[in-house]
Amino acid sequence: MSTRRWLFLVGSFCVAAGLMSLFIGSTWIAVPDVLKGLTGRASGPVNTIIQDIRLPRALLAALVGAGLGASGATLQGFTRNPLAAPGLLGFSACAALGAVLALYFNVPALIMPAAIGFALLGALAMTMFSRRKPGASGLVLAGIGIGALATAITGLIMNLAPNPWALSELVYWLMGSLKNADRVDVLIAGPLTLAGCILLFLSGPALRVLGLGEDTAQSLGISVGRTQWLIVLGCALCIGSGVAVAGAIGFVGLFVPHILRFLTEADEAWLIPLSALGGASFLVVIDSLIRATSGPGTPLYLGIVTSLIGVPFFLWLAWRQS
Amino acid sequence: MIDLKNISVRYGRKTVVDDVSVTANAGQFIALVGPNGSGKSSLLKAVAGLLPHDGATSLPSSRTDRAKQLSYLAQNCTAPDHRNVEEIIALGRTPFLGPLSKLSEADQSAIDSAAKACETYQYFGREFGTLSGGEQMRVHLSRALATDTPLLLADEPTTALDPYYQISLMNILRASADAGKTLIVALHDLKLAERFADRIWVMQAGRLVANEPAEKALSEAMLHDVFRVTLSGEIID
Repeated sequence: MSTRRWLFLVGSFCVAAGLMSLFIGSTWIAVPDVLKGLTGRASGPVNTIIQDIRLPRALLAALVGAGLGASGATLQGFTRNPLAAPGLLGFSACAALGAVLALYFNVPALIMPAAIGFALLGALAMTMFSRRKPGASGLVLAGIGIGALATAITGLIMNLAPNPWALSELVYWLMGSLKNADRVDVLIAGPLTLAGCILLFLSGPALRVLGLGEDTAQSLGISVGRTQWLIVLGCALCIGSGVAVAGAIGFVGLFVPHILRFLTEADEAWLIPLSALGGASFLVVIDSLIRATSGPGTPLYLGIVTSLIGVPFFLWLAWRQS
Repeated sequence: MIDLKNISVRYGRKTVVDDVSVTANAGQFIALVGPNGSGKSSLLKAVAGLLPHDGATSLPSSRTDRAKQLSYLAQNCTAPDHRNVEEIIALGRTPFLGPLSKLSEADQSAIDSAAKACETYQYFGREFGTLSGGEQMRVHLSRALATDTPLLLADEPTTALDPYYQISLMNILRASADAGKTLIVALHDLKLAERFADRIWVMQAGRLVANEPAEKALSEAMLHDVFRVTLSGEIID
């Protein structure tokens, strides 16, 4: 099957999963009412449930998943490293540090700008540290180092949490969840994720050629430095906005591109939009399952579930590589 | 044709290419020879725009314009194992396309010509990782020829190839030069250099110490002074 058909198929699945997720929740709403609720023609409570709770949550799951999937596919293409992912290279850790700082100082309004700002700051630091020789090895080393530093500082902040309640808030937030999703989150994360995905998509043609090695790619007119800038900025926007609205969601950026690479014949460039759609579909489905199975007192956290699914895959990948 | 004027390359304080000025004419096959560490690869990389250097070349300074003037075959060519041969050859053309553009008829024609010249048609449909080392090198050469540039730089393309593939590759390079392409090829095998090249550039400790027709360059004195071997293959202490 051609890549374009795969794009259509995965895109259609994503839309279908999103529509299905509108039916999932503690209150059963019939199909005609859900459809009416989408256009604001249902009764007041139904309109509120659909438009203010379920639709933003589905859209946000799709946006966060798309950003993670596109970032993972791009980073794996650029570094030619199958284990590369936004979590490994420090983007998620930097964004999480920003958000944790905002939580620590009890300024919830700053969670989003801090997460995005720290993701951009991390991207800038990665570029600075790998400035002498832009490319895969420099970015991986700088990314892992900066990610480790951000994780250590996050740990320090948790260590210094003034009381158990504040600590539990930080811990719960880091587990990742979409339970507080609202329209404002969508309006902020939407354009940023879209802008990030466009930057990543623009790096696609260069990624194809970088498979031949950096020297060969440069001789073919590819600027490794410019490509790295596009990628770190794109990842910072996608991951920063994702972490800002949903907390730390791990492993989606790792295994979604691998599954799609295994299933399709997409090259490095087409794998980016395909992984964006795949990541969006995956997170919408997982979040819907969480909502369908969680009781009111014991909510499962999205980041925990994706990690539980992702870790075995990660280990399988490491075993296969060795 | 390409002019190199006062090309020098430094790694920190160490000068690895020292004030090289030389010209290669259109259709010439230049063999670049010299002992390990003499600066052959660094000179090729400097000409390809991959290393910062002093001095100037007659090539355009803009990265994209230069890419349309020269192809570079790296010493350790690589490609994703799962990619099909025809996709890899097409990469000689796709960098000049937009993200959503398709190959034009001219692009396809250049790819076909390169595949025909290197006899890589027979590998179409196969994954790169399933080919032998010699076959992979021919695919890389096809990719370099598909770019259809007037200058080809190749860094030790015959290393690690068996005699059959060495001669097969050199025949393809010779045919490209005969068709008007300028070639600068770093080689360790002096016999191949003498047999296939028009001229031989000899490098020693970063300097170009000889630029002679192939049949004259590798004299007893040159072998003695530069390579520390005799014509009969003895090592000179």
